[in-house]
Amino acid sequence: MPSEIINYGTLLDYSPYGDSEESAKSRLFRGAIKAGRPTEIDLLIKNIKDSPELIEFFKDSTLVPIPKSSPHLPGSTFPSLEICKAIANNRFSLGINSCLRRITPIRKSSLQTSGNRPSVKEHYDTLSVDITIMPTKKIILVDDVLTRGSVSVACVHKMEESYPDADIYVFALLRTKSFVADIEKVINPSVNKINYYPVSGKTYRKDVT
Amino acid sequence: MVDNKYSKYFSRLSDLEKIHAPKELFFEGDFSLITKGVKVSVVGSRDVSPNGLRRTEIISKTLVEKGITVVSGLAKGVDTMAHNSAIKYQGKTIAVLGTPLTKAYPSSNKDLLAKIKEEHLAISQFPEEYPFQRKNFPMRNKTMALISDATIIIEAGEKSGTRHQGWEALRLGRLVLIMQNVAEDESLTWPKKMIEYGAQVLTRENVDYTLNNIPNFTSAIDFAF
Repeated sequence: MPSEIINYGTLLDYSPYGDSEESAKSRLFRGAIKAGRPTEIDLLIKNIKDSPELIEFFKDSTLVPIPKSSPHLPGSTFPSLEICKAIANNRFSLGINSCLRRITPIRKSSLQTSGNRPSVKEHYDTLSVDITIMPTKKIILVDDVLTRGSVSVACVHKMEESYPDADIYVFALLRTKSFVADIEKVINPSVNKINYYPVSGKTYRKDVT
Repeated sequence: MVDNKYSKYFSRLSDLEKIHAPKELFFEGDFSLITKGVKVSVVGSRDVSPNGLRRTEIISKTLVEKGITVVSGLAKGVDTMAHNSAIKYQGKTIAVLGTPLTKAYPSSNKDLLAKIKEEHLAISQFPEEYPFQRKNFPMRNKTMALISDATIIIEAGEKSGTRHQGWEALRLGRLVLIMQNVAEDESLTWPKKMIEYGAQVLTRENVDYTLNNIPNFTSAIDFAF
């Protein structure tokens, strides 16, 4: 039975439209993260050391990068993998397993209005797992940005089929806060939950206020 | 002009971005247009159709209205219309040349280049006396992909050099937007291949939302964190 509650962690808040200095900074960070720049990503990831909650979240885990919205073009950027490398290099996690793949492209969620974003099922149908031995029971799927959670939930469900005994979590370096005018601070570690409602197919992030 | 502004820009790039980035860059005009704000390349055929020209003007005007800098290559056709539209609608434009800075190609764009140098920004990776070679233009196209947050392909034939920019932009993780009529053109194979690897189709319905949500991949982070 696919999970209906997914635990997630996040480090930074991101404001798509806010006018404050912190909101503007968050958009620059988003750009650098999506460009897959290792230096900036590593500097941001180091802030995990100041969050006991996130240190515990990552403990004894294997990281799995969440793929982009299209199949991987050889030689191209892979932001989620760069985030995984930074987490592992800073020894917050035990290792990386790039077993999750996007096999057909899907429209980018960030470029869709809320009514047209791909659903959990649409994401799920575009994913595939290359099953390999997973060295830990705890698996953390890593993404660059978390907005509604449809990608995260779909990836968790896909992984659960291949690793039914694993404890699967999600980490996104940036959490979108489009429902507030401005964010107060960019670095804002958090551990929270996403609810999935199988009848409607909708997701709900618990920190939405 | 060559100074350390580009070496500072180059030092911030990832190893992946540096692969095709020019080792030196010559420029005249306002270099901050490269380091600040959102920049979108508008590119396509030299022998563009009348509808393609019209779409170029509309897209460029829309970009200007959103405060986005229009980047193009000073070539005939789409590029010239993109630069002229940005200027006409009081926006900003960057010309990325496939020739040294002192040489307008085509020569009919000599006055346009002078205006861009005076009031906007012209850049070239080719030093004075660098020989004119066909391979300069694919190199230039990769530079355009690097400095832009998105590339909009207005119109391009099956063998068009514009494809080099599209693929390089996809490699760099930048947005590639293909006009709907081009994406649906059954006589072309390249749009489908690019869409398989993440290019998005730009339609009348999604253009506003899409252009409002282009990630700022390229602006400098010049504060400590």
